Amino acid sequence: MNISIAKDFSDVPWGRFPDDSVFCGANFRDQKLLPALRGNERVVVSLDGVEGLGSSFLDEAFGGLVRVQRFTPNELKAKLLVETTEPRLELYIQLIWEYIEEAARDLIAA
Amino acid sequence: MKKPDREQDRWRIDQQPHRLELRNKAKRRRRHRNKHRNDVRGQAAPLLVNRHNPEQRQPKNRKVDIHLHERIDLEENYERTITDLTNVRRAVANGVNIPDLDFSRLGYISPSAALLLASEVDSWKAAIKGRRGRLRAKTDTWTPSVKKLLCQMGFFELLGMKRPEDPGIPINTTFLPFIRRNVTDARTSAGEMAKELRKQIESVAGVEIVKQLLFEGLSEAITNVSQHAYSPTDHVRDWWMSGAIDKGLVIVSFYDHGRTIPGTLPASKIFEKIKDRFGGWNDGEKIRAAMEVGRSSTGIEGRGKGLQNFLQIIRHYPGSRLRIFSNRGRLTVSNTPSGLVFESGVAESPLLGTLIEWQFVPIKPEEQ
Repeated sequence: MNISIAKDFSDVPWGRFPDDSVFCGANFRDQKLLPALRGNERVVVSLDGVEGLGSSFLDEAFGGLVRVQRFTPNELKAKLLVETTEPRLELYIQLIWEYIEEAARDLIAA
Repeated sequence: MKKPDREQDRWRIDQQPHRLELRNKAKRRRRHRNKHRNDVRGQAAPLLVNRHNPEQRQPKNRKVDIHLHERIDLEENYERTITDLTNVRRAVANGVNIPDLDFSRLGYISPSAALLLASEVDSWKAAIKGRRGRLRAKTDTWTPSVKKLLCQMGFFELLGMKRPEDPGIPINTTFLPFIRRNVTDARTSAGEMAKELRKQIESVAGVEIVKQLLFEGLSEAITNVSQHAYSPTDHVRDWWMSGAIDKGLVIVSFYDHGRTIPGTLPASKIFEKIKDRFGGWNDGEKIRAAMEVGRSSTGIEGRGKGLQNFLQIIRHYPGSRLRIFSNRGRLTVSNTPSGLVFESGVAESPLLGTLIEWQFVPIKPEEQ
């Protein structure tokens, strides 16, 4: 299954929780990512077309899959592919996987 | 109209002693109220002037005109600028009427100072909700360049005042219309606002900005205000944002009236860790620590990464600068040939909120 953040959610996603923004990381995770991950073997998330992605949005959307929804990084690596055709957005792919790993480390430490 | 009969009044009091008691109680209440008012006014600097008697610092009619100094900026005139703005904030807090804005002495106003000023007068306007009549400004006595800049910024429209005629003089600086949003309203519109501001800057500067950089900084600033700056019971939960282009230099400012970064940081779980690392702990160092280590006043894992996003645009454009003013602290991060240089400091007068300012020169792709 393919999800385009810009087309299926918002081209200006920002914020962590619904109190910050209706286009926040928690809403993207719960409304788009989670149903897709639970119902499909493979989920491809495209970053193309977004204005930008703040760390609060990314951490809650992707790190939150581990912290809140209890996915493991290995499960996500097997199911989730994040991609972009825009060079300016490539850095975010690395950041997303860092947030996922960090959330797993925080869980273990807690 | 019949004059009150004093004899009759005294008789009433003699016959009904409780009336005297009620009268004395009312007198005591009045005296207490006036004493309190005088205390508050006593702290105000002379820039709050009684419009009927300029010599009198403590106006009895609770009307004050706002006079500003010759230069309002956050560089050489930081303390004086903050004092002027704090006086406006006090007037707002005390419910004082501000009938006249007198900017006739003002010869220069920087973009960020203009945003601070507009936010203070805007808060006053919101606090009185049109109860005390219209705000006036004798704009014909204002310096033409100041008038033009404030016109560009939408200062008069924001305050519900008649926009003066454009003085028609050429100036090097262009102010973009400034934006005010409440934390609640911003939930649906802030992202679009940040995008729109970027487009306006590009249109005036004639150069494309790497779009995600400004968006990251602004969206995290807005998220921080939503999560940390205000408590749900605060009357004002607004933020203000503006842009300006000065001879190719882009200045983007973001301001809130919240609890400030130093004011929220001590609640963090990582407080002790940072304190150990930096040794001292003044407001400037608190902002620096929050920027370098990551801050969370909630103590929840995963939080506190946002301030790093402020640096993205600074890292990208050589010679650019980020400045954060929050309470008494200030932090400047400059992109120099030897890398990012952090400088923190402390001011005498506290800024009652947090101002984030980005200054950068966008470079055309062929020059990169």
